[in-house]
Formats: sequence, structure tokens, C-alpha cells
Amino acid sequence: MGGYLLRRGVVGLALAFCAVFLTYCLTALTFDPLAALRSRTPPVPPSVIAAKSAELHLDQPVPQRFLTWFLAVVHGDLGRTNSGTAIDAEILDRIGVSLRLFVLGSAIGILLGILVGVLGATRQYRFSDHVGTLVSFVLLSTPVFLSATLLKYAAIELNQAVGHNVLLFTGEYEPTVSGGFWPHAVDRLQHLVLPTLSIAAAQIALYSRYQRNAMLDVLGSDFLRTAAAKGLTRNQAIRRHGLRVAVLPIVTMLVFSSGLMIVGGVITESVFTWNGMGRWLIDGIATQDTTIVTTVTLFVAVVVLLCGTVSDLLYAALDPRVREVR
Amino acid sequence: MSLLDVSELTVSFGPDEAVRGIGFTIGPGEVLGLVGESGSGKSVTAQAMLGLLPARSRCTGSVRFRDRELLGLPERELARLRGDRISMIFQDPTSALTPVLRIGDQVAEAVRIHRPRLGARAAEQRAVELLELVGIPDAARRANAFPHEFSGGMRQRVLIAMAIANDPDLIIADEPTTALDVTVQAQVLEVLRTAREVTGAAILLITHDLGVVAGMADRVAVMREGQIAENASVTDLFDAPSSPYTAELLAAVPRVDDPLKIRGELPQAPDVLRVHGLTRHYPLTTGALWRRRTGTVHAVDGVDLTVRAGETLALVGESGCGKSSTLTDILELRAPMGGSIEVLGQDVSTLDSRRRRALRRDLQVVFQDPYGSLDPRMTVGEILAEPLRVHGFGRAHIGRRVPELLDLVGLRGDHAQRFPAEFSGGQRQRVAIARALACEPKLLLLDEPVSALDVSVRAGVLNLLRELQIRLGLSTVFVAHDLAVVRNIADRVAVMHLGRIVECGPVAEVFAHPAHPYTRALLSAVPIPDPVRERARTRIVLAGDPPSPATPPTGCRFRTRCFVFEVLDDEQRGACIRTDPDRRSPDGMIDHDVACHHAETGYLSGGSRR
Ligand SMILES: Nc1ncnc2c1ncn2[C@@H]1O[C@H](COP(=O)(O)OP(=O)(O)O)[C@@H](O)[C@H]1O
Ligand code: SF4
Ligand SMILES: [Mg+2]
Repeated sequence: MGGYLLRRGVVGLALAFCAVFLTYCLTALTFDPLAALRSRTPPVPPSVIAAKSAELHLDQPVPQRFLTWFLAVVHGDLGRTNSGTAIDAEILDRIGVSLRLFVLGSAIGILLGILVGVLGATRQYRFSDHVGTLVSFVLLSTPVFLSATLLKYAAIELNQAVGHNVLLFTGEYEPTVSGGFWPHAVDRLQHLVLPTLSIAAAQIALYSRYQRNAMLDVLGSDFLRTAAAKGLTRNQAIRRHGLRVAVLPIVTMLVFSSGLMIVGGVITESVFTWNGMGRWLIDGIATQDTTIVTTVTLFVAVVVLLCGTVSDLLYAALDPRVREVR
Repeated sequence: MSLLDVSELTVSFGPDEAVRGIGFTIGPGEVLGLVGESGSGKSVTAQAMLGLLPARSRCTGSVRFRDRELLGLPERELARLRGDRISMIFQDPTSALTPVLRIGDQVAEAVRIHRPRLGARAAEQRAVELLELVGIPDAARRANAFPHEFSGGMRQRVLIAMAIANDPDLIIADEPTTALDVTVQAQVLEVLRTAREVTGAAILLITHDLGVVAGMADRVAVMREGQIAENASVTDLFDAPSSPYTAELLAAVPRVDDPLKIRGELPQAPDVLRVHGLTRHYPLTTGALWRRRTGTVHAVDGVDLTVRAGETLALVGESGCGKSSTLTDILELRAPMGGSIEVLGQDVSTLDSRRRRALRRDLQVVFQDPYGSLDPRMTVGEILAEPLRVHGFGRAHIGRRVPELLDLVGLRGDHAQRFPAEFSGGQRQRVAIARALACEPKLLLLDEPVSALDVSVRAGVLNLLRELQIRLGLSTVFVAHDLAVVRNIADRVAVMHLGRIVECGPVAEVFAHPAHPYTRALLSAVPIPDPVRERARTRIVLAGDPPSPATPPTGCRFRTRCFVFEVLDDEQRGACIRTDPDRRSPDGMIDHDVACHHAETGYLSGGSRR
């Protein structure tokens, strides 16, 4: 196992390097960080522009800039944004914000997705199954910016109906909240509900579709029939034999859905003005900032690779057939 | 009083009736054979009795077990009976066990579900006892294994262990040996006999193999299209079948004890295929995620074969012994991994691409699965025209040739406009044969061409092949695992075991005087559809599983299962352990060679055991 993880780590790092290298080069070649400066009125003197250009090393060739940045990263210095803030100063907070969304969204997505999928399969073609199918297709085909915005409007309606602000949709917390632990916790929760829902909705829809199919396969399987022939009732057979096998395909989905989730995260964070990695990416593009965009890419690469490893390990733990003989 | 009384049982799926008003009874301790071709409703009947059918099925009539009506019983009460008083064994052992749970736990569950008060430890202990009873070696340790670590035969033993866990009154076995090799089938039937002795249970034995029924059943019910065509005692059924359908079935079954349809001496003819020392190894890799080579599968390991013009050579052996790998290597027409292949006098390793293409035309193949091998979007006419077009024949020739081909394989000219989906399995196999014959090949390779077909259809296709042999003077290599089929179609037979040919000779010779212990075991394992002869036979039941081709034993590869080896003295055994015997003709055998150090000794003729 150790050897396997090591090899996996090496290849993962190589892949992450490629992703980062390509992103850096592409953005460095296409971004024009001085555009904002040049279009100012009254015009900024050329000497200032030249100074800024030198400060951002724009006068050097791209490979050299990449190398400088990369070596600094290896030594633990993630560099600065165009405006001069250190990446190090912001990144941990932002990762925390994004991971909170990501972990909660996955957990809710997976659990509810499995539940909905299993129920759909055991009630195939009944009314509840049709409803589930319909809802998940609608959710899957709605872009996140639309569903997030709709959620926002729904929350406004709700708040008006109730008469005070139950669900909040700007930022992660209200700086004005005072008091002890509980008021803060409630405030955080009020902010958390909508973005989490927005990001989990597509996950639930996706997982439930897969889970429904996997479960249908299992429901028609020989081993479930064997379990019934042994004297288990249908529900016992599904619980003790079916579920274990039916969740296997979901585990491999973890990697794919992590990509989807990050895209959803970018938009969700922007709609709800959460200062996470996703919103940073948008900011970075807006300010034509190579360092920010590359940093976010590095983060995404690491998350996807970690998800891949976790899903492999989980699979091996759940399915004796792939456990390696060591 | 009867144990089980089925009457007027009808099962429908929507508008289709799969079972139409059947009735039969089973007495305590009785073995009832339920035979019929696939789709005749055998499995549906069995599952209907236990309420195992999907919810959209509808059952009417009556199934009384010990005077209690089972149809319409609430699920809880049915579940209480299932696995306790009535248990069931299914056809496909590979998928019948839950892949992620340990064998021992699955057997223990069968015990505990009906005796919740029995502790976990006691149930585990009982599971190990049961596994021992059905012949799992080293049961206490193997109980911790997962299903994929067991061979098909071993898994079927596990299923039998679960079926007898609670001393049932009735065991329903649905084609319990159909998915297994003959030698393994013999073992599993033996276990089923033991199970019956231990529990005294009655058995409903569902099968399409009349030989199995002849050996096991007291009474036989023949099913056809959802109805019972005949129900009689086993002797009456085989002696004097009262229904014409039964008679037809019995006549259609090829038997290993049939009189030979010898074509007479074949004239001395040149060799069309010469294979020498053919070797094909596959890397063995582990890890689903990170493939890593951990060994070598010796799929084909030094195979020598010759096929003379106009002759049919059968290649027989258990699944996984390397038959198909051998065929594929020949088909490739490229230098093999090891050894040499000579087709129609040309060494394939020396071919350039033009000559290889020309040779392709002379070498054609028919595969086992008539469903997978025909493109469903092409009409039969297009399917037959394709090889002709590829090899450059003109429109006029193709237009003439297609109806000719259809006629040759017993189909009608107007079948050319239809799609494969409109044909039955047997008809599709005829189309596949016609396609192979389109360019008038000189050598035809047949990979289990009738294994997927039902008995009556199989007889038709075999007759067709035999007719083509004579009419076209075809040379064929016929891969099969069914010795009865081989006896009916081949001139010579080569018996393959673990990547090697262990015996080769004329069919008459090999079947009458099998000289290799493995050939003898194979022949003895084939059940004969005749209750008197079948029950009077002494049978060689091999011990254990075939060894893995990744770790073949040293010396003779059959020695771990060889019953002759067992009775040899140490010095004689030494030869078996040290050297892999070469093929040679023992004294007095002409054109018949064997790879066994002790083929001449008296052990072979004398020592057969039950
Ligand atoms: N679950 C099912 N749904 C619809 N039709 C079925 C189902 N199971 C079996 N059948 C049909 O019932 C008939 C009898 O099948 P089966 O009992 O499996 O035959 P056998 O066991 O004799 O080969 C076939 O026509 C088959 O297609
Ligand atoms: S060589 Fe020995 S082990 Fe091999 S088949 Fe002959 S007697 Fe058996
Ligand atoms: Mg069946």
C-alpha cells in the first residue's frame, strides 16, 4: 500500500505541475495587468507604468517568470498579487471558506444522493421515482448561476413572508454580530444554508441518478436472489447484501464530481459573495492576475488528486476484489 | 402423502404466460428431474414456488408444501420457509454469492437467519462444518476468503452448503452444474448426492442435460413452452417415452456412447495446418488501479497439432485450458510468441502483408456466440456479401453467391433481406457459418459453435456441419468442451490440459481406448442419457480443482489430480514429478499419441474407481 501511495503521489505531483505550468504560461501570455493603469484618466506617466511592469517582471520572458515563481513556491513563498498583497496572507482563509462548502456539499450530496437513488430504485416507475427523476434532471440541467440566483430570490420571499431575515445571502458572516458563541454560530448557519444548498443540489441530483442505476443492477442480481433464498426478506437482503455492492460505483464518482463541484463552487461563491478560492479566481481574471489564477489552479489540482486517492482507498476498503495481494 | 403438490400453476409477465397451468408432485426424499430447453419455463416455475419472481409477475394456481398453500403467503412467512424447509441452488455460481462478504459469513448467515438464538461463534463453527461437508479443503481458513478467490466449482459447493444448512425437506437445484466443466460437474453432482444422503431431502433437479437426469432422478417431468409434456418414472421415460417431444429430445442428444459415424479411412492427404511448439503466455497483473506484473499465465505451452486436408480435428478440454488462445494464435497469421505455425504449407512468420491477406481468405472462423458475432444493423444479405466484397468479388458474383450460401446452410433465399434479430440462435449460427464459407476457405476454425444452442437446434447445426464436411471436403479445427459432440463430428481428437495436448488420435481410438488418465476422467465424467448404463458405470471423480495456469505443477501438469499418480510407487512418481512427459505412441497404437510416463502400465486398464 505504501508503495502504491508513493507512486500515486509522484504521478499526482507531476500532473499538478503540468496543470500549473500550462495555466501560468497561458495566463502570462494573454493577461495584460497594466491595462487598467494605462486607461486611467488623467493618464498615468509612462515612467510609472514602466516601474509597475518591472515590479511585476513583465519585462522578462515567460519561462523565466514561471521559474522564478515556481522556485519561490517550492521554498514556501507563494508570491504576491498584482496589487502587492502576499498570497500567503489570504490563501488559508480562502481555502477554509471553500473547503467548508466543498466538504459539506459533498457530504450532503453523497448521503442524500444515495438515499434518493436507493429509494428510486426500490420504487422503480412508481410515482415517487418519477418525481425524483424529473427533479434531478431539472437540477442537473440548470446552470449553477441560475439556480443560485433563484435560491436567493426564494430566500428573499421567505424572509419577507416570515417577517425577518432567516436566511442570509451575502458573505459568510455578519461582522456586526455581537454576543457569545451562540449568536455567532446561528449567524454562520444562516449564511451557510443557501450556498451549501446551491452546491449540493447538483450533487444530489448526480449521485442519485448513478445510485439509482447501480441499485437497479443490484436488485436484479443473482446474489440478492440467493440472499432471499436463504430466508432473508427483501428489505433485509437489500440492507445486508445489496447496499454494500451498490455504493461501489459511487465511490469512483467522487473524483469526477469533485471537478463539477469546484466549478459550482466558483459560481456559488460569487453569487453569495463568499471570499473563497472560487471568487478569488474570478477576481484574478478580472484583474488579469497570473499569480492568483495559477494559485487557484494549484489548489484545484491538489483537491482533485486528493479526491482521487481517497476514492481509490475507499474502493479498496469496500471491495475485496480490488484489494491488491501484497 | 406428497411433500410438494403443484397444480394448475400459471405464471405471467404482463400478457406473456411463461408457465401455463402445470402440475406435478414430489414425495418426501424423491428426486424429480425437470427437463426442457431454455425458455421452457423451468426457472420461472422454481422461483414462482418460492415467491422469488419480480413483483410484476402474476402467479395463479396452487403450490402446496406439506399441505400449506405457498402462493399468496405473506413475505415474512415465505422467508421463514425459504432456506429452512425449502432451499434453492442457482445456475451461475460466479454471481450467486455477494462479492464483498466473506464466504464463511454468508454461510453462517444462512444458519442464523433461521436460528437467531444461536450465537455468532456457534454459527461460524457450523458454517465451517458445512463447508467441510461439501468438500472445501482447509475449510476453517477458507471460510475467511471472499467469493472471487473461489473457483466456480467451489462456489457451487458453497451454495450447496448454504442450501443444506438447516436440514431442509426440499432442495430446488436450478441447473446447478450447467455453468461448470464436466469434471467439475461430476464433483458437484457427487456433493449433491452426499447432501441428499445427509439431509434426506427431496430434490427438484432442474436441468437441460438428460444425462444428469438419468443419473440422479427418480421421476422426470419434461417441460415445453410452459407446459409439462410428459411426467414419468426415469426408466419409463428413457425406455418408452410417451410424448413425441420427449422422443425427439432423446434422439437429438449426442452421446459419448453413440455408435461412431465413421467416414471410413480418409485417404492420405497433405497437411493443411501444422502447429509446432506453440506458446502463448499472458502477463498476470494485479491491482485494479495500478497494474503490476506479478506472474505469467502459461495459456498455451508447447502445443503440437496437424490437420490433414479434408479432416476435422477436435480440440477438447476444460475451460481455461488454452483452446481459444490456440485458435486465436492460428487466426492471427503472424509469428507466434513461441513455436511455429504453418498454414497451407506457408510458415506464417515469413508472410508479407499481401500474402497474409490472400491467406486470410483461405482461413475462416465461426465463434460460439451467434448473438455477438453478427452486426445487428446489417441484413443477412449484407453480412454474407461483406467478405466477398472485401476480397474483391464483383457485384454479379456476389448476387449469385449469397442465395447459394443461404441454400448451403439450409436457409431460404428471402432470408437475405432480414436482420439477425429476426432469427433464432440456431439460424444465426447458420448465417455465421455461411459467412465463413463465403470465400470458399480451405481451413475452417470453429470455436464452440454449438455450445450456446439448445439440444434440438444443436443437432441440426451439427448435421449441417457434417454434411458440409462431406460436400465441400472442408478441413476444420473444431474447438469444444463437449465430448459427445466431438465424437459425433470429428475424425481426430486432441485433448488439451493446462496449455498442453495430452492425447491425440483418431476419435474411434481415443474414445474406445483412452490412454491418458485425464482423457479417461473426462470421458467418465460425461453423463450418459440412459439410466441403466449411467447408474451402472464406475466413475472417476477427480479430486480438487484444475491447477492455475499461472502456477502449473512441476513435471506432469496433471499430477495433482491424477488418480494413477496416487497409486504409483515412489520411484514411478519420481518421473511424473520431475519431467513433463512428451507425446509418444505407446506400443500397439498407431497415429495415437499420449503424454504420460505410465500410459503402458496396467493401472489404466485396471484401476477405475468410483
Ligand atoms: N423476469 C422476467 N420477465 C419477463 N419474462 C421472463 C422473466 N423471466 C423469465 N421470463 C420468460 O419466461 C419464459 C421461461 O423462462 P425460464 O423459466 O427462465 O426458462 P428455462 O428456465 O426453462 O430456461 C421465457 O420466455 C422467458 O423469457
Ligand atoms: S505422467 Fe504421471 S501424473 Fe502425469 S498423467 Fe501420467 S501417471 Fe499421471
Ligand atoms: Mg433456467
